[in-house]
Amino acid sequence: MPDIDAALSKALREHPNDLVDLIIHVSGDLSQRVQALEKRNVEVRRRFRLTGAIGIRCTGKTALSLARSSWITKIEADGPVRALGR
Amino acid sequence: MADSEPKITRGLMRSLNTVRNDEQLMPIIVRFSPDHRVMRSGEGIVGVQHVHSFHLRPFAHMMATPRAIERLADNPDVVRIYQDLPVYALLDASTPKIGAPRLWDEGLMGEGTRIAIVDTGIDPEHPDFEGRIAATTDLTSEGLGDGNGHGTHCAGIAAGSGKACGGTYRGVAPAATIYAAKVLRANGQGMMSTVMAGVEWAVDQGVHIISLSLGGPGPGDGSDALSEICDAAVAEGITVVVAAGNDGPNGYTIGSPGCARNVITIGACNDDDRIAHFSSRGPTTDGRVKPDVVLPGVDIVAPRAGGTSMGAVVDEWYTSASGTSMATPHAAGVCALLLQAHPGLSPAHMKARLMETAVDLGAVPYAQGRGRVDAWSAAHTDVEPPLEPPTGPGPIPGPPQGCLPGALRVLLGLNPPRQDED
Repeated sequence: MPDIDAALSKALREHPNDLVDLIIHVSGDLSQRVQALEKRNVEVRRRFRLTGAIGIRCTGKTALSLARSSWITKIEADGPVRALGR
Repeated sequence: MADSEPKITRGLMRSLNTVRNDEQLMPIIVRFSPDHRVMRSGEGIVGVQHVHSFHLRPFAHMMATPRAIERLADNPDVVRIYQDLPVYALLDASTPKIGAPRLWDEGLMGEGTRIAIVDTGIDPEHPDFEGRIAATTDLTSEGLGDGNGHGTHCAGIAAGSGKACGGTYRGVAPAATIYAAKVLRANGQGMMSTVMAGVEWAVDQGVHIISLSLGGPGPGDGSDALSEICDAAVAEGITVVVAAGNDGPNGYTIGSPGCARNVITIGACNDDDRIAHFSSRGPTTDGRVKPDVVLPGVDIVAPRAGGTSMGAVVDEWYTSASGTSMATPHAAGVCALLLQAHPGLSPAHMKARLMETAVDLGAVPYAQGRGRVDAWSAAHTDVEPPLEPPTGPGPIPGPPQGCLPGALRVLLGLNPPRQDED
């Protein structure tokens, strides 16, 4: 089971049909994992070769089903950032 | 002064051309010929209010309408009329504070080094970057260019030449090559994944230094994806400097990627070497001391992107802003100078040099890290990299109860996206 924060998991369960932006960490070949995600109709937005992570957009329900994949090691929220000057 | 030189300065003339109200009083400084003291008060001229006459030189401070200014210019006793402008703590004050000019005198200006500004973009038309922007990319789908001004300001602090101001607001490493990844939109906001893409782009460009004046809500423990990719960039041999955040003075306010383990996390001080009130404090939620060092970040004047009004606008080319955002590119510039002095300096060595030679400002480590950077000492002091990560000063109280990672709080709607503060 991937590392996924309990609160995130709860949020995904409570909003199964809402689209959510996530960053998932995968093991194995990055390109193959991207293809596997796309076959499951997951929108792949970014791929990160340095850390083996993939930025995706999917429903909460889909995210929870992905969490059962052995090659996904971590799921986290793709959170907001902002400029730190004013 | 040559007879043909106009008495009204160009800057004042530009301001006069924008005034719509003929009765508007404008602050001016008038220089009189030395032997006409009577005229110093401007008396007898309609539309002039005398404020102050200086005794060391024949100058007077006045308030005058546009018409009155023209009448003053016609007076043979008036030599020159200047616009009275607000003053700021200048980039030209912050760079001497950290010792940069001493390194410039030694020929160290960042030549041959490559700095990536991962931010809101950059204004490629600004004179201070002429000929030195090697590559840019837009990852926001807004298009190239800087619609906010933040990225341009940061780039100027790190590596601006000061060309548009005769060198007054020269950046820390004015000969460095600049790479700009636009990862924040014109409203100054973005997503972690976009920033991660910007970091990877910078790595692929072969830069030496990545400067990140951005962050997510705190606190963090450095295990998030953005912090992880910053640490991965460091593992590739790139020095990564990151803003601590502006959520101080409370502790546990350093979010991602400021909480990343191997980056250099930058807090802000002012020109009096006091920690800025807003500068985020550590520790991280896993108990590490952050920030690592501090640099000037209050009222910093630096390049202004065309068509933007971020900060307090100084003139057509410069604006003043505050934040750990402004401190961070100071660090990027210093790293460029150190890299020029010591080619091949690893990120760990760079971090150690900055930390071991920092000036203790007398604040707690969770506010100042090791202190305020002294660039000259960092360049001239041989320091070994630490064998173990730095530890905190003692028992650390735990994070506040119910302290969820910042990004998760937003996802759950517990904290709406933060608006820009006044």
